[in-house]
Amino acid sequence: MKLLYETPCLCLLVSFIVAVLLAGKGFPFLLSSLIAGFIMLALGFCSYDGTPHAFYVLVLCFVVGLLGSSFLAYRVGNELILADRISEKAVVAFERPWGSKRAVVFKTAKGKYVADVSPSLALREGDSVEIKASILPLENKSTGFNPYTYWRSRGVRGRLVGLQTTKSRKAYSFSLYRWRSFLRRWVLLNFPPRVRGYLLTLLFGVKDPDLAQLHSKWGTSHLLAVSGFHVALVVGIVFRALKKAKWKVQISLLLLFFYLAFTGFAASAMRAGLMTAFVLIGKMIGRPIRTLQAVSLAAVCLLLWRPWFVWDVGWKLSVMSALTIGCTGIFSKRISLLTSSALLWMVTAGIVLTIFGSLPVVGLFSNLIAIPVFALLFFVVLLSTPLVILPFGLGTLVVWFAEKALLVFEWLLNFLASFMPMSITEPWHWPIISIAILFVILTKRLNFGFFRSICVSSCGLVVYMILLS
Amino acid sequence: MSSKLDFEFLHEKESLEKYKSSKSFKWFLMAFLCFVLALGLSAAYSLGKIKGRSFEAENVVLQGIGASEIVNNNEEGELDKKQATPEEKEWILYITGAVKNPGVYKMPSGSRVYQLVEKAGGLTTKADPVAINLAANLGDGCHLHVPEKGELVATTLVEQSRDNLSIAKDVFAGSNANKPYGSYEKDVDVIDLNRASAEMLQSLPGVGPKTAQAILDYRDLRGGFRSVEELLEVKGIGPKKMEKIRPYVTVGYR
Repeated sequence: MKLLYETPCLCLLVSFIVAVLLAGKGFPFLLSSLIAGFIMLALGFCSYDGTPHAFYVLVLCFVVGLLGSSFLAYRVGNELILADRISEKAVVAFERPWGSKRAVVFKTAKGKYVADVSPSLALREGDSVEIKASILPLENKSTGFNPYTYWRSRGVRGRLVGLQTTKSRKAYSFSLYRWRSFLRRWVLLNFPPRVRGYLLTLLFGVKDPDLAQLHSKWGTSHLLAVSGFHVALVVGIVFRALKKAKWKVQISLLLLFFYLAFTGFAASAMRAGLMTAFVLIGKMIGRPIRTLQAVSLAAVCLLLWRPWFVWDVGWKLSVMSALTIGCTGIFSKRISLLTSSALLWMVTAGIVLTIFGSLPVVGLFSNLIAIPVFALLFFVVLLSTPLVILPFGLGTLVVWFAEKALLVFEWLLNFLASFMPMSITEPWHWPIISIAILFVILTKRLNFGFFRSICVSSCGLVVYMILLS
Repeated sequence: MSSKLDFEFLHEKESLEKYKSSKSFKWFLMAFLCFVLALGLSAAYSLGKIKGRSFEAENVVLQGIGASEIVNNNEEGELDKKQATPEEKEWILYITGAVKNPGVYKMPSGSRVYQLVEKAGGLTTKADPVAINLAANLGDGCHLHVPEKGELVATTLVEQSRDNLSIAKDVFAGSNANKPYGSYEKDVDVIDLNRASAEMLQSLPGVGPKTAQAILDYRDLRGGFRSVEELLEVKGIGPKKMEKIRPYVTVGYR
């Protein structure tokens, strides 16, 4: 039973999630944190062996869990007090399609606010504007897509109506948003379609609609969301390149921060980034951290920052996938690649089906080939970016090669998908199956024993179903 | 020597294992107890909440019956009526705009504007004290908006009269800077977007049956309007039409 020795943060993560979900259901914050504390104690006692070390860890976890849960539940349970009107200078921090309109997030000195605007306003990321509008609370829906949790997990405080904007004439003020916008434009104008699409995903966390459709068909949509795969790829390249440098960890951490900033601090990218940072810092101070502990700690840090991440699809998929990868050690190395692909597919099936409505069966097998090949192709695509500025069209040749390689692999995946065109569309039982599989592999990985594994998984499922009800 | 040490070490290890296995079941029971406690607490709270709701619903029904009986036997005058409906002793009022703590407040019946403003922390430095009549009477369910200096707002108070018609009277001194201090806009009929019928909405400039229906649909969908500007989200109402409508509408307490 390694829970308290190896991954005490997993206990904290469980208690925080329970507290936030209960507070979201309208439970008073003290009661939510108390229930979460008891759940954490139950999990802790399951792996408690009576030794003093474990006891100290358990007490520490309980105290931190109780305080943290109270803090999170209080934040979730109490609505923000918003001013009636706003008249401020703002920067467009984010914009995306929103039905027939565009959702634009304005960053002001008083916080972030979202507005649905007409596409004809042509607001781009990084634009400086003066805004005048009335502030309304974010819509909170109990069924279907909930704009409240979506925007709160992105740091937005309220929505603006009756918006009046005046674009600022000061065109060259420095801001990260402006740089993101400038580089996006440069990528869009200088690269062929496939390289362009993957570059936008890798560097800015922007999904190309054509690629999104293709990856959805292949069951590899996760490759288009900036996650551990991309963070490990980018940081891994630099870390390897600086193998003999004294400051390799520090430089990698700095690069990691800039990379996360450029991807727009998406939940999945942040989780992966924090996890990588913990691993790097662990290496630096000579205290290596285990995967499960690093994932849990990263998830806990994100929740303390924005508790509404609990409802964010990207955060959920990212944490569940990373926990599953952390558990693949329970299988022998020969079959670990095969099992990890299948396990990831099954563990994420519940969320994918609930949110997107269909889950291609081909994903069970396509990931086996897609993950290693795309790692190589993404590496080539990233390398081709600085080369494009070379004179005499030398860089264009490399980009052309990358484009053709991507097209060939696309054909191969299409060929594979044609053998298994079926998709699962009935989601009713999959959330339960997914969570059950996750609990079983987690308890197995943490050496809970057969009887305790069954008990903990069953109790976990009961709590999950109660929280979902 | 070393074999003796090994033996002692193994013996210690075995005894530790035995100790752990005997204790571990106790801890497992503790874990189960904690889990049951957590479930029990959440179940008790949920059941209490459901019971509380049903009790409130019963209360509302009983109060409704009581009120109708009093109306039928209206012999002892209005005093009895006030005693029978305790909620009338306390008004619920909504204040927004240039006050320190805007929000919903409970005030004793018969309160005036200055009392509500005081309860909301007082006027901010940006508030336009000329634009508001601090001595005006309030009514249950009023929405009072305190404008900032230079802010163009047509109405600040909506009196939720029992016939669902909202009339702002005597409260707002007019935000027009040309008007002398102390002048009052009296008997201005303002339509409350959260209570108006389709016919009332059609009396607004530029609002036909379709737009009126769109306003009602929006109100039903979102559970009411929070500000007049929210009209811009209604299909068929753009900024120009909005400016035409603005002086004649307000948003009452939902």
